[in-house]
Amino acid sequence: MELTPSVTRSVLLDLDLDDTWDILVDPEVLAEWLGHGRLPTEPGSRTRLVEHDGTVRTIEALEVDPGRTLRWRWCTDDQPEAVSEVEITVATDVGGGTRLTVVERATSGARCSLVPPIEGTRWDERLLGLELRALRTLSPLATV
Amino acid sequence: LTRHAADDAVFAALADPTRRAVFEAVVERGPVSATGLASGFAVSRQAIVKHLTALREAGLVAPERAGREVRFRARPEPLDEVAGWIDRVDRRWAQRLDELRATVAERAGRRTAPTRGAEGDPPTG
Repeated sequence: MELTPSVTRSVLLDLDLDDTWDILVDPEVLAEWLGHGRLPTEPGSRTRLVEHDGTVRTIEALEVDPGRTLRWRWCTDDQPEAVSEVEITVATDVGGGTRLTVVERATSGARCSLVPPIEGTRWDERLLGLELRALRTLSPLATV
Repeated sequence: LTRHAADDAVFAALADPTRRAVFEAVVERGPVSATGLASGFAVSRQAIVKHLTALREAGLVAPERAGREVRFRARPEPLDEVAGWIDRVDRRWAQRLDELRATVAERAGRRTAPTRGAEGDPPTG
């Protein structure tokens, strides 16, 4: 018996299988229930997600079976040692509609190497913030 | 150890079925020595000692000296951490899936309800 702490939750949606998959990967819908960003849809690809409480997560896709399964591992920027795996499966329910099931498993011994180095867009964001602060400092009357 | 590193140690320690059985035996029979435990298992005393060492490193058992013997007592605290992880993650997914269901229902309502713009739009073509 494997002893890995895990949580399973499911929801029955009044949608067919294809529509359920579409909304799962639709950033506009994703922003309503999970967070702002995208889910990675290619194995090995990484994305960033900002949850409603401001938590920033890095996600790496492990398995993508369109219309059936999406599995990823994720961690937050502030707790990179807390890595877990999430598996979402969608399946037609016998009573009608589509059942979406989520399983999140704690990982043992894993360390998050998902947090990207401070470069690229993150540096751009930081430099922009620095410029704005500098402008305010140099021009106290200016409103930015 | 950080909290998550401690959780990892607990997960790893209890992932082994024999070690889990040793832990359960300590819970039921503790405080108990390695020799006392070995009598109930089909493994050597040395193997039991190794399992107890792993359990001690995970904080799941604590040794205490009783004369010339070292006995082990179970410590439930690390399991509370694991239970806390399950509780936190479960509550988050319950909330997220509630929001997903509400979003789907809202979008379905928008699709089926006639919009004002559609009613007033002049025919095209």
